[in-house]
Amino acid sequence: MIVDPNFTTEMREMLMRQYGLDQTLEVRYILYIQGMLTWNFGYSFASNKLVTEEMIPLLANTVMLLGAALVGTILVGIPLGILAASRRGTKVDVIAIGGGLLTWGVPTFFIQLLFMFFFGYYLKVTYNWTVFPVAGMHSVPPPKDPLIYMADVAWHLAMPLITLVVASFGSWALYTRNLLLDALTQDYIVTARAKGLSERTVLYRHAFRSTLPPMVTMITLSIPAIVTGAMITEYIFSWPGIGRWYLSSLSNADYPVVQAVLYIYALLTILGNVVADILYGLLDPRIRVGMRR
Amino acid sequence: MEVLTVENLKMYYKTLRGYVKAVDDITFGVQKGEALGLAGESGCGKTSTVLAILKLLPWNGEIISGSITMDGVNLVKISDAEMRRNFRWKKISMIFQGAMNALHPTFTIEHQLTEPIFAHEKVSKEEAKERVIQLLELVGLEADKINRYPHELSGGMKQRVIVAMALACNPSLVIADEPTTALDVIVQAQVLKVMKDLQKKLDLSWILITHDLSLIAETCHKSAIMYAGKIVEYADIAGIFKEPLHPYTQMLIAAFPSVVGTKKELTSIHGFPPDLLNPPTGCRFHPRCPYSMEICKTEDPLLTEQKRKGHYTACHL
Amino acid sequence: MSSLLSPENWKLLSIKIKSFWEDYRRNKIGLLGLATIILYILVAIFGPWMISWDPTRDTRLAQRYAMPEWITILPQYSDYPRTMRIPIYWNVTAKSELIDASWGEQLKLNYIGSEAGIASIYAMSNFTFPYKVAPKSFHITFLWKASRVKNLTYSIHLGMVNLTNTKQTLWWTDRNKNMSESAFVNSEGIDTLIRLNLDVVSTDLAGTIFSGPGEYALALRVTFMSSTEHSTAEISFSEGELRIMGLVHGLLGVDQYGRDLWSQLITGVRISLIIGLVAAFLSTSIGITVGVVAGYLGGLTDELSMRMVDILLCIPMLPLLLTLMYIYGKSPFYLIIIIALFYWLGLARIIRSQVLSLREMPFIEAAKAAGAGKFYIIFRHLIPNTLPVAFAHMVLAVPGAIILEAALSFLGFGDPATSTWGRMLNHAFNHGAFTRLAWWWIFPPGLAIVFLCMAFVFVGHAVDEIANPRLRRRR
Repeated sequence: MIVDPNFTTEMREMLMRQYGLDQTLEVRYILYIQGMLTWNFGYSFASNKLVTEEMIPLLANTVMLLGAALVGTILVGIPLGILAASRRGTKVDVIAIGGGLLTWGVPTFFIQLLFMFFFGYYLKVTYNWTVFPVAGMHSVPPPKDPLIYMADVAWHLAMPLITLVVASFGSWALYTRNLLLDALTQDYIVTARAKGLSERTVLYRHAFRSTLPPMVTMITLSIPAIVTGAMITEYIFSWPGIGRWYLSSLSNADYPVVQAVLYIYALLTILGNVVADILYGLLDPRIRVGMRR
Repeated sequence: MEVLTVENLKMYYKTLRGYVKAVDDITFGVQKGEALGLAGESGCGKTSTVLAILKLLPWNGEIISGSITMDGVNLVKISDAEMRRNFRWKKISMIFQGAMNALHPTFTIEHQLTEPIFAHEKVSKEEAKERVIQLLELVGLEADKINRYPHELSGGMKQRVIVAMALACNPSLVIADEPTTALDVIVQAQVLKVMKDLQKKLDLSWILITHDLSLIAETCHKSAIMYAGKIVEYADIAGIFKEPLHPYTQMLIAAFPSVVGTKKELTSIHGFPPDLLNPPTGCRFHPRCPYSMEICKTEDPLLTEQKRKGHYTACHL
Repeated sequence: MSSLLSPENWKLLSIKIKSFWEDYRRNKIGLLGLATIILYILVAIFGPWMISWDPTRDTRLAQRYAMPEWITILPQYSDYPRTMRIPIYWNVTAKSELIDASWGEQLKLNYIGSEAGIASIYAMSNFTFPYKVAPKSFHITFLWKASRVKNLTYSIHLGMVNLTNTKQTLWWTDRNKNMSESAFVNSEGIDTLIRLNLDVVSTDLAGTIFSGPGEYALALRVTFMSSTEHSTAEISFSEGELRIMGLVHGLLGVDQYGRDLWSQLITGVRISLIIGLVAAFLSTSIGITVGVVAGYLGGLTDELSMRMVDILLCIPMLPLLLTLMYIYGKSPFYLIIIIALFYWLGLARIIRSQVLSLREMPFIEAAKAAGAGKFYIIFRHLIPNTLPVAFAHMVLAVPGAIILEAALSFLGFGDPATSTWGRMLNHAFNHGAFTRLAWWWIFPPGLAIVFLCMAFVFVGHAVDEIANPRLRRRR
């Protein structure tokens, strides 16, 4: 940190008091907890603005990206998994398995770099086509018309979103497929078929329904991974979210921001787990607490 | 009147090493209001036969030839869609082996019992609910069970639900595959009683599959003994138990220890059931038969009517 | 208490391994994965012999962002220059008699003057430039020393001559002191003032001079100006090197500082494998230990361990990892420890539930009845039975760790001293490889990661198919 030569002792003491550095470790810890609970994270060193104030728009951007990515991945991955399970051994199955394996072996950020290289640079430099923009959330200057603005944001969202979905759908497809295959070996499936139900009913209402509980668990357990992936995505595509904010704050030793964002991440994960527990109980009557016998 | 006629049915499983001849040219029939007991060792083809009747075979099972006739329709020839719409559960229903797991864990009893009704008939929800309550009464369960989940019921209760479920669409024929195997003796007796009552009340036809001959003796009118994919003896209960003609039947009956009478050493049939990929030539039982003759090794005996009327056996003796 | 490694155990183990290998051999995917891993291990071992330069320290090997040499196969790149390092060998072409010179690699000038005047000496160092395409820059380094300077000023001019037409001055100095200096002339870095003075129209000095294959020379002119009698000076030039920065270099070109990319790629193999394998092994060991102990001992140990696992699982790994590395340091050692500290959690849970069902099994009861103590049961019975699950976890943990390290380095939080693939991608991303479409820089490190990780995934998949009969394809 660069310090003004006129930095007097009084100013130093004032700063120390402001940041509570003149207290003991225990007191500082309590202050920290207090801050976390009251959503008061202090001021960012870099921007001198209130952390909470600066965070909200960034958080919204991240949620937009993550939400869209989650929805997209589920919409692509789960149907693919169902299809693969019902057509076991065919090409669809192989695609699902292959996609799943790829997810484990190919780093997301490399897929994103490849996409960016091809769509963002190669096409632009060679043919002067701008298929997808390379950076940012909106064009500079942002369009005034709200509808056009939303379309602009969506256009900028396209590449991060597509790369995230491509990188993640495989593991969902594979997991769904395996769960479904497992469910299809159960006795109640044979019963359902014997009842004269159509194959589709058997697949969706009986087999798929019983895979929902573990699938819900997987959704929530993957939240930390999605958060991580978003951080790297925001870095690569310069998407203004809290992940990128976190990275730059870490490099700049902007501690209030770092603390706040870590807290938010942990909170999101815990929230996700709680939701998962509740949903699991709703979906699987065997797990409900306090059942009557 | 015959409800179901099976003629010369051959059903094999296709494997990489060839065909496993699980059901090899069997013929039998079930009369209206009659219970047929299908008995035999594990792996002799009983379950495969009924799976073939309902056409619920796994992906490598093939009906090679023969016919299964019900209501004038040959089930072997009809499409899967027709089978589903007209026959499964509507005319033929099944109580599965290991019925503990036959119920879906996340659906209520009501849902599972009304499901086949909705699938085959157009009724209102209230009507269906009423029928379900009646069905549960039939098997001796209170109406409040309809809102329960399967894991909240005991084994015996679940079994009775399965029986009720099988009757949901008023079928003509019910196939029960080892319905009492997983139950303790007292519950077994309960369920058996239910089945006997139902049969009398509703004039249903049954096929009861079991390896427990005493069960057949108690509940059935006729019985077919299967061995290695073939029927070796087919007659009414009196005939089978009082005058068993086939050596296998005789040894099966003798293997049951008698509660009364002097204590004897337990007899068993030595040897193992044959490999159905390459079954023995001629009569399939000849390696284990104490009376086997030269002809038994070469010629496969046909099921022929014996001196008693309606008593068939497949043996060279 | 029979030890784990007794002869009967060895025999059993070797039989198990042999039958496992029999099954594994038939699985093509698994073999492919295994072969790839072995290939990488070989590269890691023999790496230093496969590269010619140090990946982080040998800078300025070629023009920044130079392309790989094999690109000259393509017609439009066929005459691109490679880096040429030419030692300077001075030939004196003209001199005044007052100067005594000995030339060669070292040029020694001795001026003894007895009256006022100007004396000059001209020297040239010839070289051949064989390429049609001009380089973008060249560097000249040399040492020069002026001593016994008395009563005069001297000026040194250095120039580059295209023996057919152009001639450019690169550097000069006017001095009158004794001094010793090492000079470095970068044709790209000649500042504006000098440029203006030299009448250089374009900034592309090298391009102006080099107009195709031919003879060129480095020209030197030293002028002594004495205003009185009895002036002396001794000037010597030594260790001169002209380095023409090639536009193509090596197997993968160079990065923004002129460092060889192939060396970086190969060095990366070693570090990635080490990080991956060690972190996976450590985390698996911790996971097994905690899982077995918690599952078998139950009670408070179990509760505490599982609560801890639950809490730790709630924390997203990457942000915390970044923070920890920021605080504690960026060396790969810390990275391995921190990764291991996160990866064991999932495995511990799985092992624990497996142990919970294992401990009710008859053979455990039998062992207890025979008088076996806790540790014996844990080591001799429980742990061997958990090995298949743990092995499957470990095989998949390796690519996880490798990718995590790559992501960290890519974000810029890796160790700057080690050359890893993530760092290569970071440099590519942040220093303009994309705008230059330098695909030979971007693809290899990423693909290296992909192939290595996919190899482990294949192996894991193959082992899974063998060990888990349910998932086997119906043959």
